[in-house]
Amino acid sequence: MASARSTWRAAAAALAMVALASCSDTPSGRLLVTSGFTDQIFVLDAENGGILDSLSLDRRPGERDEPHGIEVSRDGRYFYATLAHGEPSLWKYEVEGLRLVGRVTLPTNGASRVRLSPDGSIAAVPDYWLSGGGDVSRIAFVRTHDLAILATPAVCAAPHDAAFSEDGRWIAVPCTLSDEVVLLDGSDFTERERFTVGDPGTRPLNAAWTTATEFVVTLQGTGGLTTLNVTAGVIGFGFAADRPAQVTVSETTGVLAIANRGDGTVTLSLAGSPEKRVPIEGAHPHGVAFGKDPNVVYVTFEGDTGTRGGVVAIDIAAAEVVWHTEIGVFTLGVAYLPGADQS
Amino acid sequence: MLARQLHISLLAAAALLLLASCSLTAEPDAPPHLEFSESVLDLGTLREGQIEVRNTGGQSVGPVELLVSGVRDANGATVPGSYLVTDPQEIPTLNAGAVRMVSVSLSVQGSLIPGEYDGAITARGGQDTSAQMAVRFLVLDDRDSSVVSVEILSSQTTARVGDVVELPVEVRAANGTVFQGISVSWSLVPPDAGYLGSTGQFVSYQTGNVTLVARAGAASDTLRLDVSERGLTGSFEIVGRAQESYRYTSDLWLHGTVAYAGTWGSRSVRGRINLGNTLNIWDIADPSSARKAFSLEIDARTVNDTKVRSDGTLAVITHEGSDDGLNGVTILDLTNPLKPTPRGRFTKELESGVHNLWVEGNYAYLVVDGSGNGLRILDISDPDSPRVVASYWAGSSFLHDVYVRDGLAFLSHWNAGLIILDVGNGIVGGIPEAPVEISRLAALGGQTHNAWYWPETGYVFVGEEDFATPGILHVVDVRNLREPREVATYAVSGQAPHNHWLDEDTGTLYVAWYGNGLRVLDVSGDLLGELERQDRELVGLRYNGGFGSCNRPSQDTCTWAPQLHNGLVWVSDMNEGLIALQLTR
Repeated sequence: MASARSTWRAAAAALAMVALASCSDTPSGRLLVTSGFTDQIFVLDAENGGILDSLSLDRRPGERDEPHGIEVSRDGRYFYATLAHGEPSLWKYEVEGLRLVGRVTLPTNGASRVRLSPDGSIAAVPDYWLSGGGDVSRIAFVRTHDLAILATPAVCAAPHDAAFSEDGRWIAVPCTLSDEVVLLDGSDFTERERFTVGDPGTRPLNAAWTTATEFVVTLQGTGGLTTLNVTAGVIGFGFAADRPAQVTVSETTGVLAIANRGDGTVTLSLAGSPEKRVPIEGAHPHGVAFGKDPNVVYVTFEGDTGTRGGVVAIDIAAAEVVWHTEIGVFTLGVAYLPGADQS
Repeated sequence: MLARQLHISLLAAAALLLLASCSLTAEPDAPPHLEFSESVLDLGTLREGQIEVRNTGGQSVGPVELLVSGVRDANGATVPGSYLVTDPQEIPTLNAGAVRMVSVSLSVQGSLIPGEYDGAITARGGQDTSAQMAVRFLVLDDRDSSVVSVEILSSQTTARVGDVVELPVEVRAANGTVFQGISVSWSLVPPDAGYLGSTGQFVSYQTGNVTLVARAGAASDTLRLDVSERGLTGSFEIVGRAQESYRYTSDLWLHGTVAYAGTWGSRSVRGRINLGNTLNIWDIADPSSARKAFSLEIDARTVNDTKVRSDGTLAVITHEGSDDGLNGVTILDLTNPLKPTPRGRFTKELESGVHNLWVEGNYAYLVVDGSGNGLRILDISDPDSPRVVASYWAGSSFLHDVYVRDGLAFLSHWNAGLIILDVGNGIVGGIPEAPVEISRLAALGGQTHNAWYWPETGYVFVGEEDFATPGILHVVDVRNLREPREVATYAVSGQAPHNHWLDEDTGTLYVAWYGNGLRVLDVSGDLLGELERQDRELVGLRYNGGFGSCNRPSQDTCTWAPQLHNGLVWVSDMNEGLIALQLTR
């Protein structure tokens, strides 16, 4: 009797699985990766690095457009990417069908990362105007619903990132050519604080919030990481990383992951634990992102003038690469796209 | 038994429920659907109006590109220099049910002959949906009752297709006074025989008899022309090939018996990626047997452009996508032209990359990638310590290419159009250290890509690299440098034009047209109207056949740039390398 019951249960479960499976063709979790020199976004299986799809952003097939930043909205319905060259632009995609649903040309000279406000209503795109000779450039704030440009405040020389704090109150802007970090008010985009983070050539590049009032910034010129408080400014330095690019913080574990563009490693750090440095096979680590599994971090590498770029997945506990996929050329941004059951 | 049946029923019901709920939630919204509020916007005698674009579908769509046609006269001939303009030019996104107002205006160069005109606007939402509408407007004649006579002051009775016929007209009042500036309306029999310009010029598009009728007030005059074939033929013989199959080839420059060719982007060959980090140097002493003499690798993912100074002592090459992020240019010593040696790399203010350049004497004119950057003029009188002496940006869009001649710099400034700078000509006091803008012509359809100035005729040939609505070549009259105006266009369906080279001795323009190969155009004499309707193309050659597959795994024809050198036309082809061609006409 017990055996017959279990058979029925198994049959019921199998039927349910079949029915559920037929409901959704969305894989469990994917990565979106920008390839700056082939003008593409690649879609990878986050489990194993398999290449699932690619999207072309090639507006001018004979010219370089450079997809750069990429970010997924928290509700998992949309993702956004920047095109850095030509006339810079922000592209909006629906996750369903990976369908392009909008593009706005930005009134700026460049476009690097794209960052979303916590509620997903606003996208911030810094004008990383590297050839501006130190002239002040802007952050473009775009309403994501209709891609209307809300504001373009002039902030500092060559801002590369504009990271919203968890509550959306602050926006941290590392200014690469003025060696400053500017704090903008998340409600009206006005400047609230301006901190110098080092001598000329320090080159603050990217930011990640660690608490409601503290954040870290990578220092691409001098190497390392600095910690800032919204009122006190710089409160500490750490991690003698070599020309670090992006940094991210796990929301669940607090682990910091830093892509060290200079020496080809990834730094993993959790307060109270020894720092780990993971070498990866591939030149110039650049982008970092966490996904569903807090024990895995995804890191892009640019490649160099003789090799492809790509992506690796790193097991944080084991401090080792679990998969490695060569994909793209000048591979830059990475974002995790949750599966249907995760959003 | 009953229990088993109950189980089966429950299972079936559960599965059906799951499937049903699944199909309910998975029901897709209706696809996006674009509509204009009117199918025709009739402006009458006005020059602007408004129209709505709606997304009546159930899904968002974007971007919605608003693609405008040129303006056509009542005979269907395109009017050079006249375009429809929309504001915005692109709607970022239209959500389901959203409506966006679009302003439509006319950009008209000079005056138009009285008559009816039209154009078209297409709203295109990617591959998903598109809508089209027409725009009509009217130019009234003066209907001056005091006019009693009109006389066409031309005794010309014959012409070839494509020849421009001057049609001076004299309009008189009853007292014999000659009117100045009165508008004359024209008509053609047959109506599609050619194009009549507002400045009193006619160009024929077909052979046979053409009757031109001029009218002012109640008076008229007639001129009959017998139009014959232009009678041009041409063919190419392939003389030699210099094959580069590992990398995509970019621009070329030939000097003496050496060809320099850059490389571009990333090319996958047998699973290995090869990036455009190389300048190839070819010995072309024997064009039928070109030999790769040397390859110079630099820190770049694309070496887009190379120029050799006219004295042959140095070359400048561009860096894009460099590993160190500094890009810039490298100056090469050509003491041994077959094995150049780098004298130095200059990167300051050039970090975002250099795409194109021109070398004129002691100055290199550099095109810096990206909006806001524009032109940098580099003093290379001391090649070991070059310095930026001037910069220029148009204030919008980005610079794509530069051509310098007779102290004039012609900037192909993408959506800002063609810009002319004085860099030593003297017309407005500019020098290389302090260039001064003379004029600009924005109404060229955008995507202004490259230019060639022909001082003898006062024409500039301007390429429009438009992949959305296959680009055209524009002919701009700059005889008055302060007021450049478009006089003619040349279109080839499919693909976009790329670089071109003019044989000024014969008036022969060689145009690289990507997958459409090399197009050879007779541009002798005055130019007016649509050149592709004038039998001016001598030959269009896809030397490697194919269907226009550029920078993808392919061996198809993909022509990047031509250069006339020692009687041969050399072309760089992205997929193959260099090809030497002999034109017979």
